[in-house]
Amino acid sequence: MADLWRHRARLEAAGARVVVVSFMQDEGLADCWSRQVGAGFEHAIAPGADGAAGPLYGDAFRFRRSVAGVWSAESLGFYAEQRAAGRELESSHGQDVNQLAGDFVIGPDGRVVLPYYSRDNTDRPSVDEIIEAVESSREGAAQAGDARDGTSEEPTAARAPGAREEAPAADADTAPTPEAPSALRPDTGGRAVLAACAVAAVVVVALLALARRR
Amino acid sequence: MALSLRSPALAERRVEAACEEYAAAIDAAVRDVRVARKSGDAAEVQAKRLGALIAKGDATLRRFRFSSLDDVRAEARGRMGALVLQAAQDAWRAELARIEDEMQGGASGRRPQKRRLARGDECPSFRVRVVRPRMASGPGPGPPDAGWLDAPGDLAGSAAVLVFLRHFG
Repeated sequence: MADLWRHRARLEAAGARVVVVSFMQDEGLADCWSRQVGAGFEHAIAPGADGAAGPLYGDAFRFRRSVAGVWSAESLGFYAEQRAAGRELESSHGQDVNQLAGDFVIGPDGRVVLPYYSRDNTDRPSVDEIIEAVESSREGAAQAGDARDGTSEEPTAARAPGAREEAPAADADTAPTPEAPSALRPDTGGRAVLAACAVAAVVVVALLALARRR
Repeated sequence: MALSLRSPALAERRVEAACEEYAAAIDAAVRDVRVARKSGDAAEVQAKRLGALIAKGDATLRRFRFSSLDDVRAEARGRMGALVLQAAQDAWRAELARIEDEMQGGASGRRPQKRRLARGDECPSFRVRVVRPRMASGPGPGPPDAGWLDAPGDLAGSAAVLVFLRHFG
């Protein structure tokens, strides 16, 4: 976090608004954390009951709870190294230690550009990855705007080059709604089918007209 | 100490001893977890037993003057200590995987996981309390500035970076 704060000028230059999200139980604790870490970003709090994260974590952004990510060799080794380096380990203040987190970059069009689900407490995207995602989202939005204005021939979707691909878990109740067959969608194969039908209709009408004349 | 570490034999003994000590700590923690399971402790309580490794890892690093466990592993490469440590860590991972499975409801009672958000998905709607830390708004005493963030409306028009934290600490 301190690293991100050090690069805030780059983030601001890229047009990004940075919001820290936590499940601190109250504003005082959130403020205390921000000052301890030395990061002055806006801090949104989304607590649930009894130290758990609120629905913003699990329901909206789909972060999971996991013991494997939290108590892994890498995680505990990281804490051991912090202690060996003379740093005090903070209490969790009664918050759920098994809650995983991560980082999201949302584009100006309200779409997710970089979804990053951390595997453990040491796993975060680099500042460069985040800035790259922010910049690509702005380029994507500008190109989409140009396309709407008719000034660009090939609008390209916003894409973060460093974005990590996540394998989505199988999920019956939240799977995307199946789309209509591609041939019926006007933006893809549907257009070709409609054109073929139109040509066929013209040919049939022409043949009928020819037969009548004879 | 610095002079003695120049001796290859002593350096080897140092890293072998560090590996053995940390591997023994892992073995002890894994045994402790198994005892907790037999006692009927919940999966999350079992996992917390592994937290004892933080203090033991710290002690091993200090005693053998390593700055990180990665350094221990790197120096142990190709030696018996590396194998001992690897075996202990494999047992640790297997135990963690079993606890994770238990926590998620086991093979038969596994709860369905929601599909993770992907690039191109719409930002979920949410409304949360937002604090602007005092350090950013001035050094004066008193409560931090606070307000509400309504997304995606309040985030529209510019890119937003949402940094989700784990617990305090």
